[in-house]
Parts: sequence; C-alpha cells; structure tokens
Amino acid sequence: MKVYLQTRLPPQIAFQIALMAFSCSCSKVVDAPQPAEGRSIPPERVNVRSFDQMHETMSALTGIPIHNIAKTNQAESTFNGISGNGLRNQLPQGNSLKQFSAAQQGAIVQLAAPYCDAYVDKLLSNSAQMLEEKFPFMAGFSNSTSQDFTNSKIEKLTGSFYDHFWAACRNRPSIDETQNEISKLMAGLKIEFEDDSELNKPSNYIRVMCVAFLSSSCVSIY
Amino acid sequence: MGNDKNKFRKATSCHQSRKAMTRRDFIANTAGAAVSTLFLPGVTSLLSSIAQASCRPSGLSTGGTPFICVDLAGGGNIAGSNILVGGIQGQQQFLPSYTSLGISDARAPRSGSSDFVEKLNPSSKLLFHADSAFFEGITNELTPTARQKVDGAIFCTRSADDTNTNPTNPLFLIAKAHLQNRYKGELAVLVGTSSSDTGGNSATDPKYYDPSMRSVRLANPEDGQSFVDVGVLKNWIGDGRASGAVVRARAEKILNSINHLSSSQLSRFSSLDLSAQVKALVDCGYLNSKESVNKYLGEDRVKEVNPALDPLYQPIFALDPNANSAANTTTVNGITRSAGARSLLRQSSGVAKLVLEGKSNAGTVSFGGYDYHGGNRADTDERDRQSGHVVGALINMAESLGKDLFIYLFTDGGLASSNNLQTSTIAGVDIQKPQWASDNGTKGATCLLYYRHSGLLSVSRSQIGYYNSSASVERTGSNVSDNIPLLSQAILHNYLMATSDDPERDLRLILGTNPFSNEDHIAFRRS
Repeated sequence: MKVYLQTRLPPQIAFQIALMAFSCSCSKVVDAPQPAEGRSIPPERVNVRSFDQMHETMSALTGIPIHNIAKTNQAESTFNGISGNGLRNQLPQGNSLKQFSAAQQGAIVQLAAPYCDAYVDKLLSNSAQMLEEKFPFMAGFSNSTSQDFTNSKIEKLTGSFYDHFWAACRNRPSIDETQNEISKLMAGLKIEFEDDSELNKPSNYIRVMCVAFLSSSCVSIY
Repeated sequence: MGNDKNKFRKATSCHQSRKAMTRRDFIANTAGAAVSTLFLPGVTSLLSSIAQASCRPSGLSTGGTPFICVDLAGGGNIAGSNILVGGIQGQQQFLPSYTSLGISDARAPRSGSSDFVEKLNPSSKLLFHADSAFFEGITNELTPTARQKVDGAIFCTRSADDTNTNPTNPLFLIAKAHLQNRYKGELAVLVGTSSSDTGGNSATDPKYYDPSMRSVRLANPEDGQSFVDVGVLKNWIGDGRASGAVVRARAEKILNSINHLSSSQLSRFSSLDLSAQVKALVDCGYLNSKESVNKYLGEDRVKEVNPALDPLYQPIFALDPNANSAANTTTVNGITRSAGARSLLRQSSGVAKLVLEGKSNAGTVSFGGYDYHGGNRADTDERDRQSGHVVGALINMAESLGKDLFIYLFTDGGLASSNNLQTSTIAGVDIQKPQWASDNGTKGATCLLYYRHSGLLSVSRSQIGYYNSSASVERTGSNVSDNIPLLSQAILHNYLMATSDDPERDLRLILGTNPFSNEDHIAFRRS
C-alpha cells in the first residue's frame, strides 16, 4: 500500500491519510512523481492526475473502494459512458498539464460525485459511531433538518473536510479562504433549496460540500 | 532576471500576432477586474483574464480548419472502382486494364474519352469512376452549392491488409498544427467513433502519438453530453424537480466555488510556475470549465453538444426523432437513404458536431465491415455508397455552418478483383462489375477532400504517385507510395499548404524538420 503524499506533509497528517487508506481496504493510492534530478534548484513542477490516479485518490480520501463505486449502475454510466468510454477517455491519461482541457472539470465533478454520495451514505449509516467520532459536532446528523445545519456546523465541517481531504494538498488555500468560499456556496444553496424539502437536507449540502473539495485542483493537481 | 522575463514573454504570448506581455503588463491589464472579485480578488481575476485574453483562438472563428478522417476498417476499395487511378501522368493517364481494380473492360475509361469518368464539379480535378457507389453516395447527399466547392486528390500508396497497425491516421499531426495556432478544441482535442487512441481503426505514427490528445469516443449523437454533464451532482441540485436553467445556475454556483478554491491553490505556486505552468492550466483550460458546463448543461442547451437535438443536424444526419420520417429517409436531393446509410450518418453526427463547431480539434469516423474480399459486389458497393453518404453529409454540414472542411478517406490495405462479374445497381442502373476476390495492399490508396466554403480550391494535381501497368501501386511513384508514416506527414503538409500563411515554417515547427526532398506529394496549393 502506497500513499500519495508530498514530502513536506506533516507526519501526523500523513499517518491519518495512510490509516484512512488502509481502512478502506483495497484502494490503491498513487505515488507522486519524484522531482527531476540534476538541477541545483529543481523547478516546482505542477502536474495533473490521470483518470486512474484521480479515481484512486478519491477512493483513498473517502474510504470508498473503487469497486463499490464501479458496481452501481449510475457509476457504470458515469465511468463507462453511453458508448463505453465515459470519463476514462475524457480525463487525462498522463500527468502533463497539457492534458487538461476545459471539459475536464465537469468530468472531475462526475467522478467525485459518486464517491461523495457513498461517503455521505456511509457517514449516515455509521452515525452513531464513525460520524460522531469523526465529526462530534454533527451528533444526530442523520435525523437533523436544514435548520440544524447551522453556519457554525458548516464552518466546523469545512474545517474537518479541509484537514481530511486536503491534507496532502500542496499549496492548499488558506482555511479562511476555504471557509469563506464554502460558506458562501452553502448560503446560496440554502436559499435555492429552502422550498424543496427533498433538497433542503443537511446530507444534501454535505454531498455538495464534499464534491467541492474533491473536485478542486487540490485533488486533481499536484 | 532577463531570462525569466523572456520565459514569461514566451509563456504569455498566445499566438504569433499577439504582442507578448511581460508580467508587469499582465498585472496592469488585469488590476481593474481584480477589484470587483469578492473571493480572492487578485488571483481569480488575474487567471480569468489570462484565460480570456490569451486563449482566444484565431482564424476560422475557432482557430483551425476542421479535419475529419473517414476510416473504413477492414480493407475496402478506394482505388480504381471508386476513385480513378492512372499512370505517371496522373489520373487521366488511364491504365491498360482495371479488371483487377473492380472495373470490367466494358466499363473501363479510355484515353480521349470522358466515358465512365465523373467529377464533382466542372472545375474540380479529382476523377471518380462513373459507376462508383462511393461517388453515388456523396452526390446523393451533396447540395448543388456544396458540390461546386469540393476537390481532392488520391494518394496511391501501399498499406498492410486487414490490420489496425497501419499508421495512417494523421490526426495527431493535424492537432499539433492546430495547437501551433493555439487552437485546442473547447471540449476535447480529438474525438472519434472508436475507443482507440486515434478514435478509428488505423493507428497513428507512434512518433507523434501524444496521450494528452488521445481521442475521446463519440459513437452516438448523445455521447457529447457526457463532456458537459456533472453526473450524480444533478440529482442533489434538483434535476427533474426544477427547470434546466435553475439546475444550471446551481451547478454553476458549485463549479464557481470549485474554480475559486482551485485558483487559490494555483496562485500559491511560485511566480515562475504562474507564468510557465499554471498558465497552461488556465490557458484554454481550467477556468473555462465553469463556462463550458454552464454553456451546455440543461435540456434547453444540450443540443449544443448533442446533434440529435439540433434541428440543423437532424435532416443532414438522419436524426429526426421519428426514425421513418422523410427527413431521415431522403436526402436533400430527394434520394432515398438506405438503413445502413442512416446508421452511419447517425454514428458520425457526434464527431461532426464537435469538430465542425470547434468543440474538438479534429475527429475520426470509423466504420467496420469494409473487409470486402469474397463479398457480393452489390453488398460491397452498398458499403461504399454508405460511406459516400457520410462524406456528403459532412460536407453539407460544413456548408450549413459556413465552415471549411478536410475529409481524409482511408482504409487498411487494398483489394484485387476477379473475373467473376456480378450485378450491382448504380443510380438505378444494373451494371456488371468484377467481384472483389482478395486482399491486396499493393492496390491501396487514400483520398484527401477539401471543401472550401469561400469557393473551390482546385488541386494542382489530383493524383499523388501512380499505378503501374499491372494496376498496382508503383512503390517508387512518390515520397509516400510505400511509406505510410511519411504519408501522414504528407497529409499534414497538404493541409498546411491549403490553409497556412507559411506552410513550410509550420511544417518545421510541427515535425521539427521538413522530411521531404521534393514536393511530389503536394496536391493543394493556396492561390
């Protein structure tokens, strides 16, 4: 089991990610390419993760095994597409930034969404143990209403996701910037969803929040 | 420092005509916009401005002349029975016999006569055989006005039979040509109807394969939607419960946040990275994502990537929702389309849509079943007719959109016919034609067609290389007669000759050299 980590990652966070990856059974996490040798000051390379690397990284971060995602019909459609190629061909095959095109952000969202769906379902199903252990401020989450999903909880959850999903992110945004952005997004969606009881649920907001983290360049770029 | 500045100039100069910006210019130009951005003011605006300013493509409204390969998988016929081949003087120097090329002696063209010879228009030079089912298919579809603006050339060239290893597909080179012009394709670099690297059956020269350009498969009209979908996320933001516009607005909010967070991260890389590497993300890429999804997501906009929902494409590619409607079963010229032709048109429509509208750089439509040996001639001619319908429809669509279009037709290997004559019906007339008997790569050819919307560009010669008196490719007939990798480069060279202001410079930029010692492979010259 290898864990995708940057060398500057604090050991405790590295351990946390490694533990998480290990606990999610067979997910393989990818190695970061080593900096080029032979230069006194190696240039700071920026690369994009390939489809497989994104898959593996999202699997490790959410603890959802790839095969759990791939076996659902919805994911099958997502990954294999209507005619059999789907996201694999749309997302980068290698690590060069040249492989990134505009449509790929949408494809990354497509890839992240089933992981977040399963991740939040897992949180719900384990609410008494895992959820409250990981996110104690979310006690009673599975039965909560949107009113319970207060700004304070959003802020705390953002902080947890920030540490959890972006622990290995090189040059990650500041926590303040991230809080500001996610809060703004959640506030906007709350207004959008307030008249729709199906959408106006904390679990729905958390799924979106998860997608925002997993789909950002912190996960797709290294 | 000087070096850094030069690097930055290089990285920020978009195309040759754009003045290079220094970092200082660039910040000055974007400072105003930065103030209005709530989140992470400087960087988001800075990157957005770069994207908008430096990623604007040039030429043909999107930056490159559309190029579509038609790849007939298996080994179909091009030379002789469909597009005439001749001796060293060209197509019009007819061979002593075409019986091994699918034409009976009774229907063979003769010197000094125009019998059995057809052209697309009076000014074009490419000669077809009058009994060509491929020609029939093209002309069944072509509008009278489009037909006046097409010419092409046949490349007499040997290739291996029944294999997908011939490196015939030139799209990676064409894509490189487009990239020279900073044209990447809004959604994907290359698209194709198959799931291979090229999107077709035949391969590309490994020397020019670039995984970053690997083809994305579009085998059905609706496949393009997967480019701009956000998947399961739609369920969480009200898909099916709210209007397309509302769902789109919600998706945009989320993508906007993702972009902001990403911009924040990207800005934290060193300033050198910002100029040289992060720009690569932004340039024609990262920050356009939101716009791409927003532009196409939702029922009311998805026609932008799904030709089946676009009224302009429906009649041309037989995509009317009512499968048996006249719009599907009849061409613009009132000719009935076979079910097979309708099927191929449908398969081709997704690639046509993305390539012709600049959403992709170039594409391949590939059809199976072009493995003719031993087949009944009427059946193999029907296959030729069907691929002709596709070529005609592609050109008609280019005409509708006001675009130029290159179509490159190729197959793997070639065919030899026997003395066994079989009846095939061409344009309603029963004709005796030799049956295709065996694979024979020495009777191969490819064909490059060019529709120029502003008016016909006649070729300077309609045949590259030639056939010998035994009705086989003369292997020393041209640079490319026995060299498929070089043939791809010759196709690129012709493309540049027809479209570039400086084709020789561009050729060297793309290939690193000019591999040709002469110009015996050139058919197109811009007047």
